[in-house]
Amino acid sequence: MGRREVGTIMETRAYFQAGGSVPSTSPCYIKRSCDLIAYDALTTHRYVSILGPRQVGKTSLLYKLQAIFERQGIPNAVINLSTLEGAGQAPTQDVASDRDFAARWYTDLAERVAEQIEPGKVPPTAVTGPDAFVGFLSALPAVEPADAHAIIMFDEAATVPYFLRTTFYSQLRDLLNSRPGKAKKRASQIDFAFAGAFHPSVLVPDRDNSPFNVSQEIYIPDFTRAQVDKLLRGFVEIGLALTDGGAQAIWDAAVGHPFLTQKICQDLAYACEEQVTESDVRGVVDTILDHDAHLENLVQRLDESPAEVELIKRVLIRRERVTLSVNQQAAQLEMIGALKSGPDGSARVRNTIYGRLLRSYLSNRAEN
Amino acid sequence: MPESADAHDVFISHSHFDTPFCLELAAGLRAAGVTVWLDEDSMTLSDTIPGNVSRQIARCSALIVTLSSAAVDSQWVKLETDTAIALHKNVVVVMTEPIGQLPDSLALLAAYKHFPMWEAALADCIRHIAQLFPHAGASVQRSVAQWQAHTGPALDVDWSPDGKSLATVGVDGVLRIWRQQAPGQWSAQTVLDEPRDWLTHVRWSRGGTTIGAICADNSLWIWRPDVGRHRRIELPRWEVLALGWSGTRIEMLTTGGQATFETRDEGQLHLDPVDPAASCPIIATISPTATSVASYFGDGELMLTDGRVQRTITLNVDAVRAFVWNRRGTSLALLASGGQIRIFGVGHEASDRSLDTARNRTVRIAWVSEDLLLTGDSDGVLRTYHLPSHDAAHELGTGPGSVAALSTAPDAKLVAVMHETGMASLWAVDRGENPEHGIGIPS
Repeated sequence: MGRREVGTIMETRAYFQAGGSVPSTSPCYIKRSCDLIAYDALTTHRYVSILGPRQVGKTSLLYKLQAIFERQGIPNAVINLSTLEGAGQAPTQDVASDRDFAARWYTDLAERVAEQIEPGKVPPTAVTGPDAFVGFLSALPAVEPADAHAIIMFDEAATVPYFLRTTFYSQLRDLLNSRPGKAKKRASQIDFAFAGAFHPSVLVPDRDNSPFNVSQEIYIPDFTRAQVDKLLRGFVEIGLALTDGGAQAIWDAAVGHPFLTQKICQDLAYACEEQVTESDVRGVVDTILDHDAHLENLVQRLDESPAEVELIKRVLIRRERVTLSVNQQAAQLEMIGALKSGPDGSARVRNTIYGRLLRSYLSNRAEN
Repeated sequence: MPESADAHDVFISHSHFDTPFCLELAAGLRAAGVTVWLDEDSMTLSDTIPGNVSRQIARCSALIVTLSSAAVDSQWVKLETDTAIALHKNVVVVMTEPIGQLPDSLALLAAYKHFPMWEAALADCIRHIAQLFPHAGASVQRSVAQWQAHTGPALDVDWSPDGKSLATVGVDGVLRIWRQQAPGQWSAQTVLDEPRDWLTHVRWSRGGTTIGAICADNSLWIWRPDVGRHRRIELPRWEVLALGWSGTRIEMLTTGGQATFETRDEGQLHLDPVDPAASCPIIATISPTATSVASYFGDGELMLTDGRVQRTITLNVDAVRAFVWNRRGTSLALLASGGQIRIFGVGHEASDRSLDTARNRTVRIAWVSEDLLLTGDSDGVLRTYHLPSHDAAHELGTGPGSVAALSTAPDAKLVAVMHETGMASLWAVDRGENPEHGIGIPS
């Protein structure tokens, strides 16, 4: 392994992308079947929940869909709810203060929707609460004709402040419920997508008032081997020869995890001169395991989740078969990203890198 | 026995820096039938008042002083020692590290029995203390020996074919060979610590000269303890489910197919991958004779193979936790979630039977002999099931932590139990006095 010429570093950096959303036009954006399912659902008037742990491509998918909708002339918006004022904030117990906070949150949300869906057409409006927000949506010129259709995609959907969550999401459910009737609200011509690392039934437990309960649920999968191979063609684009052993080692290490695969490729692109071998991949994987923010975040999440750590011990040390869908801790670990469902439906460690990380984590705990 | 409910056999005096060791010592003593007063689990706030401590010591028959450099500086240890000596209590000194000259404040301890723990085995120390209490003698022998085998959870154990050594592996990535030095005293003779990840499986070759171990980084380690030579063989990225020996060949059942490694000469790895379209086993086991293989598939199918005989069984259980062949490879004991045990013969349904243990915590199972099964639970409880007496369960006692692995000695006189605490415990098998229970007081 050797350092590449400085001049080519920028070129390689532009190819693989680890972290952040991958632009829809990027050659390293890898299409998956979930892309088409989400597109189909949103263009046939269905709500969509796009679920998965951190850094598997949820946001990239939203921007990809946005690019398609733009080309097709469908008014749309992608709003990252975690960037709204007071995201995730708890109530203050002071009614007036909470009401004031809600008004600021909804107004901020409405302004961002307006900026994207009707740039320059909607004057700033104060939106005081959920009813006013529906009124604001109904007044959007984009939904004026009876057959008009618009799409709003919410990223980080779990970060709606706790005390606004139920009313906010039940309003969106009401919009869907009102569609067949004569009293249909114009805002019901809008379809919504909700993306995030959450379990719908935990976010809004009341099934009758949850928009997730009537959404097309899409769990973002890891890349398949064929999709990884497609990504690996990028090495040719940047003038690096990837050996068969190197390609296999990349697959073996990340098993299609989107971020980890991109991260390994990105680091290899920086580190290798002419070709990428199995040994190069091992070196890069060791370095990633030593210090990578993505993995550090996973460890931090585990530190905060003792029940989930106990479950990992059951899976790794006792080699128990735990079914993800019926075990809350396992489901939580699936959203943290540590586990995934194996062929028999039982929990498996997501990939080799995570396996090494989790074993090291449990060993360190045992020693301490 | 102590005369009243709040009286104890021993009071353990220690510095809080030595708490982990004292908890281990207390667990061993309790397993030996000695009642222990240790502030970590007995003390309320009012108990920390010096007068109350003195009353507790007065109610105990003996004081164990855990002596370390921290304990030497502890005012509590001095107070408790002075109290015990003043009350003419039996005193035993357990030294956790070498200490040169005892300070004047503890000089009186020099007259009492010392156990230097860097030389003596904890089991010896426990046995000596237990002998001070005749009532404890009846149960101390149930667990023949107990010692810390690994840092962190132990994962597997296997007896050498001559029954004189134990190979153990754990999450510390270390393979240890243990030999008995004296009755109840086992020490690690040789250690392989090169692996950089968990060691999950270990098996002796049938000749007893070589050991195979699986590392979680997908490697096979082959070790000759007598010459201290080892080899590392890279395996494909398949999860190894079972390990066994067939002559000089190592057999591995994996989620991706079967792998064998011929250890003679340069060695050769042979892979027999499963058809990608076919379902993969999720649990598998190889009989000690390497003649029988059992594979459980996620769709509920259990396949038993004995040479040319194959039997497929559709299991009506939620999940399979573990299964294990008897020594001859003719019967498979299967542990399902919920604690149900089922027993299958390879080529005949007549020997199939089901035991309802109703123990959801049961996590491991082993054959002690042809008619005796041993189970281990996640709370450390060990039980035996005597098959001819129709499923009678007998609770042996509680080992030090969740049971991680079980192995019966070739002569079926001892059973080794590995625990998630990293402890190893040995249980004696006595068929003469206690045929129903099978494991108990050694003759």
